[in-house]
Amino acid sequence: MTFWKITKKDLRLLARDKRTLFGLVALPLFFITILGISAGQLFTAKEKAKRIRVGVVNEDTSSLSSNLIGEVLKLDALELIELSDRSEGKERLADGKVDVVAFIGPRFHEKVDELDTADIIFAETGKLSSGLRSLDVEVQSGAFLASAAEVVEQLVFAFALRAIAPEVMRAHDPKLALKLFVQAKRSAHDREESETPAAEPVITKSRSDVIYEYLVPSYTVMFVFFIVNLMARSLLGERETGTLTRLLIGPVTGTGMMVGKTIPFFVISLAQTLLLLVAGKFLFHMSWGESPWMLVPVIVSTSLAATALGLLVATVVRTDSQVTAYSTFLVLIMAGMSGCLMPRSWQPELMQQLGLVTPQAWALIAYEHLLGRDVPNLHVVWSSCATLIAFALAFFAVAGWRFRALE
Amino acid sequence: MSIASLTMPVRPSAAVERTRASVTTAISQSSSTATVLEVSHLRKSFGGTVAVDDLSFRVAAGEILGLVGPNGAGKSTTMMIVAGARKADSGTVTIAGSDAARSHHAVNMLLGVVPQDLAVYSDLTARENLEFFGDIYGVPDSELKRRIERVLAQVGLQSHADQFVRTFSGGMKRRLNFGVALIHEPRFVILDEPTVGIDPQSRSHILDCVRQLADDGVGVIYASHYMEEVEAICHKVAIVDHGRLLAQGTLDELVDKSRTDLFLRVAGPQIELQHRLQGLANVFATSGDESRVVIKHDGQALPGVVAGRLAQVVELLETADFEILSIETHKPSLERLFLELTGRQLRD
Repeated sequence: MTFWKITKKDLRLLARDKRTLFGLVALPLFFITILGISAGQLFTAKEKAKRIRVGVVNEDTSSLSSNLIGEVLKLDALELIELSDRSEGKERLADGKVDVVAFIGPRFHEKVDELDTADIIFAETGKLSSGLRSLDVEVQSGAFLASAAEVVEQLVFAFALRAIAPEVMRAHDPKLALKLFVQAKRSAHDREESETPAAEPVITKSRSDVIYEYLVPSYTVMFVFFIVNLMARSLLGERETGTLTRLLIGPVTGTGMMVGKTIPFFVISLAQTLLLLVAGKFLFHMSWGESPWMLVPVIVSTSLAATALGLLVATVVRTDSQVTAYSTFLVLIMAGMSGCLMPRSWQPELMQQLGLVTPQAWALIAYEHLLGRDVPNLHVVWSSCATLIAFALAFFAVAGWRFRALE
Repeated sequence: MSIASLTMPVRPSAAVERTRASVTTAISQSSSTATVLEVSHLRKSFGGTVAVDDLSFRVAAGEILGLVGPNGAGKSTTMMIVAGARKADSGTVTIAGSDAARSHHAVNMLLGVVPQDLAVYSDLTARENLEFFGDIYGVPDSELKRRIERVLAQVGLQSHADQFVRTFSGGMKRRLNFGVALIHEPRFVILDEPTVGIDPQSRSHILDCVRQLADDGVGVIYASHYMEEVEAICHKVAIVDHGRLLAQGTLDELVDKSRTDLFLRVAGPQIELQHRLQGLANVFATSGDESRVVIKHDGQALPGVVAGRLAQVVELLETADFEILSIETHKPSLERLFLELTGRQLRD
């Protein structure tokens, strides 16, 4: 049981190194907080969904264009910003200060005056067949909505039709306009009486709504692997001061030494993960998912893989500079490949496959199932845990072989 | 011919003489005691370099063996093999009758090692270090406290027992490094340069501790660069260079104090001088274009014989137009013996 004596000694030494312990928990918390703020989600997860900012440059002086703007304003999802001229509109769009700019040209009311009822009803074939351009209206989308530019244009066209239709019909078919108006009023009255509430839009949680359910496990996994640095430094310290030789000359076996040096860092790693998940829940309102108990095997297997990798690196490095270089390089590269730095679902397929050579990726897959899905696939979670343990065993085996060379 | 300087014989200090007397007593006591360590035909090489070449020696209980040699002589490798930290290519190490290679874990409980490195934890206190190593060696809890106090007293760190080692001076760290090796009360202790870079007070303390160990019947190997330390505390000396044992014996056996050799520093190449002074003196090369000419006086010969030989040498050198830079007379010492055997200073 000499390993336990080494474990006790290392735990005592680690407990005295308060700055390092603080860094292990505080650093990932700072990261999560800063990234949460950058994503605009800190303490705002319950706030209203982000509104689309629409800039309007109105060069038309008629009431018709005001009607169009009024129609757009009715939609809560849009935030209307009136702009003085086209150059300001383009500038704001380039700077990302508005998501869409609608330019209502000076000939808007003239174009509307030229329309008759048929053009409104048969919009695709009549004078409106060229869409918004037929009304001297132009819509430009910024980078945020670039891929949805056509949809935006169609939406604005629909608003325009809604705004101008009554005017055109009143001008060309007043009787029809009156009839339709009365009918619409009656329908509205009937709807109120039957008290059938209008259906609320169905909102599905998106990644940005649950940013902390991504950020907390991702950065927890990334920082858990920074234990590699601490472990390597600890074993290197024993080698450099000569205490390793002294212990091995004594009754300590190589296996005892390896186990004794691994357990304290495994314990630290577990504590670090638990603290970060607790902080995630209480500071950032992160959910622990439908099966929180399943987090236990994920946490344990991830910490096991991290400490095993730490032991492996510890047996490879020869100098303090090598510890810094190897561990930082290894941890950051693996974090990037695995999806700790950006969601795995954002990565190209090839990168997602490549990432599977890292233990971090398997940990993230397990966390994603447990925290990011309403019904986690427990088979995937258990498989990920088994893979993490396989990584740990492989790392331990190579570390053992390397350690014998040190003895 | 010019004589640059003439130095009188160097007499050993009274302290060294006193120690020698106590060493002689210890030898007579230890000669009857059992052999604790026996190293036989030890050999170890790294690639093509032979680090230890057929080395054999014995250490009895209560005996201090001084292992002397320059850097790279094979001392540390020998000690690491004895301690079980390295495997020998051939040869045997027997500690208290057991083959160290076969029963390493049984033997290492009898062994205390004081490495040259400060192999202690700087973020633990002195007491915690002793507690940890005592625990590792399986010292029972009931016994450990008593032993910690004893070792702290031995190495003079009682008043600093609860201070972190990182706050210690170099000498205090060395003393703790020594103390850690004693916590499990070993029967045999290996000390590798235990006094490197420390203050005279700590050095004296460590040397006293080593003497005390021997008095308590512990066998000791003491490796050091400091000849005066080896002369002061060791019962036997083994001189090693290039992995080979050059000489071994008690100080009296190795160093004949009745001899007074003459040393001449001469400006000239060794080979030429050797050729001219053949049969009269030994010639050793030194730095630059100088050589050292040694005229031995074995103590049995009459003073006139040495004087006659000196006159002959001086005349030969004068004839050949070699400049004599200095003539010195020295009592033989371990340092001189080492120089004669290896042709270089210990710290070269």
